[in-house]
Amino acid sequence: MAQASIASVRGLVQVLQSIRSHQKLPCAVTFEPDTGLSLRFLDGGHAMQSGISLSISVFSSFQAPASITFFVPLSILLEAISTVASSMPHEIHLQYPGPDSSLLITTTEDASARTSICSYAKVATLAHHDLSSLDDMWDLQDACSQVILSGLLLREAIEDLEWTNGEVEFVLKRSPMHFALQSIKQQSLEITFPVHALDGFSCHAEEVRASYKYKHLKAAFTHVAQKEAWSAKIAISSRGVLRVTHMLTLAGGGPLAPLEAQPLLGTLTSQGHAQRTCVSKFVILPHEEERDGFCGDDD
Amino acid sequence: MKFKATLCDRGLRVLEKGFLPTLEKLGKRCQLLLGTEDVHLIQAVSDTDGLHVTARLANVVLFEEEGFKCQSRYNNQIAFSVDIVLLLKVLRAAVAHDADALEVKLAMRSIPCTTAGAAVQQRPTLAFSWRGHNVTMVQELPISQPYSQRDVEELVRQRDITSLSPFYLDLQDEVLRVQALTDKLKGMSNELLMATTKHGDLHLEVHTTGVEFGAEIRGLSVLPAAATEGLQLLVAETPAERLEEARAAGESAQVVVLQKHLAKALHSSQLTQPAQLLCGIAERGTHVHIMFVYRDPFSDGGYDDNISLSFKLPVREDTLYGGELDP
Repeated sequence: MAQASIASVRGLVQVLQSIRSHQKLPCAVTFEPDTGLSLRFLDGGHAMQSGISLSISVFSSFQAPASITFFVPLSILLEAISTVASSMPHEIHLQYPGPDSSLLITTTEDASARTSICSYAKVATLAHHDLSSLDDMWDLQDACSQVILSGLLLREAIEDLEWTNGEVEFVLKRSPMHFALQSIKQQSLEITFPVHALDGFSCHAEEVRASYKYKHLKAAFTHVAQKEAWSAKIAISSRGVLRVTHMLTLAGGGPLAPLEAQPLLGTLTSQGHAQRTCVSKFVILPHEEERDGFCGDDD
Repeated sequence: MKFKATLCDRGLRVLEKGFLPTLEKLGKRCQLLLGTEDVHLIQAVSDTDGLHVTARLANVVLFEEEGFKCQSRYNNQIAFSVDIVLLLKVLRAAVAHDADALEVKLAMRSIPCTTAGAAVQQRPTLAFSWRGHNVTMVQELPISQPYSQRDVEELVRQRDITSLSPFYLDLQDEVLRVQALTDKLKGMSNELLMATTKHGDLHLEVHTTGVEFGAEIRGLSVLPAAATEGLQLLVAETPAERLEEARAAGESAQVVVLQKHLAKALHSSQLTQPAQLLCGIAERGTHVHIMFVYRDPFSDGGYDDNISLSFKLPVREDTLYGGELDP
């Protein structure tokens, strides 16, 4: 049986908002010993995957004797957690398997107060799904271009592009260093990010272009609720697959558990950042229209 | 029938800032039952989406003693219905002009008919007159025809049908969190199971195919105090088990209500700021009774007998859960 307790209740609810969806489609929840808890979700259109990884350091206690994965409908899971969290308990506990193979979510409160609220949710789990075909898309397989910049800047840019109502093209150029977003429909609208804001820039061809559906970009960039600035890494593979990784911090909560030196998805974090960080990741397949070939000259 | 009175400052404030805006959220119209002792503002099931609302304001709170007259052939009671928005407009105009001596009386207004030869129509109104800075105002608020004796009796009967529950829980200490919870439950289901125990616990549960949710609000005050005599402490460790334990001992009551009714009743406490928010399930589970009790502004720690607000929530047959809770 796997169990986890988290004191940053508000932070957890906020971080889950970044992958929110009204879809009841299955979300894979994994308790990974020594690493933490992760959620992974494949969008109904099969062109986007989203996920959250919470490192062990964000939990006040975490036990997973072995790697356990189960499936629950994403919207129901998010709803259950936010409802249980609405009474602002001290801690939220997750336990699997709970009664009837459900995911059991419970709360604890300050026992010394005269009145208290004790709530629980039992989320029914779904049949096991095979995620292996999605792993290709999820994990880095081939050479890619990447850049790291402020998540806020990206969110604002994507929000600015909303009215253009069509696909957005990501453009990276090797030299001089250039990263911009361009509306496909409104060719005149191009948002170029200032060079000084770009970090860790690398481009696997002279020019890399790939376009994506607006609704996927909106889901990937604008649902992060964090107010403080955060870093986001953009990576585009030679097949045009876009990977967006947000490094978020969990707000609130009690004293931290002893730090595990396990940066989750790459080399972004320093030891300091691993404290209460959580990673929110999106993988988006390029939008294919009459155009073929997503990147510049890469053969 | 005759009604004439002068609204005092407290009465104007209590109506304009508290009770009328609260009732406005529940329905467009309300029925006024005037009497020699008190005024009832009543919203029947036809005025709202299912809730029965009764506000009782003693005349001593609303009106100056001098010049008060309430007379009719039916026990000196007068009832009619009125549009709350219009009534509020009239009162707010008076407040805005710092009105002096706000008089209200029942009056019949003659409306001349445009068709030649037709009789002059008599429309009942509630006439408000007041003097403010540089202005003397008379406003006539149209009201429904005053009720017949039979209709007055029916109104009174409906008002009194809300029987007192065997015991009540005071939610006031946790009203904000219970409000937040109830609001959140809207996304899960239209209905929720509500249970009260003599141990001072309120349970709210939702059962859907995807998720079972339960919240136990513990440690609430129980009224009357006698209800808690002889109770053994509950030993079960989870909320669902504790409720089952209380049920088995005959110390609880439960019904299924609509989420929106509970949410509306709870949110109604915002504008009138009650001292106690008493929630009870009627005998045999026929309805849920929620009563707001107010603090007496003229004494320390006492409760005000002159003002009250209560809700009657309809319940569904408990067949939703097969009459029994899943363990």
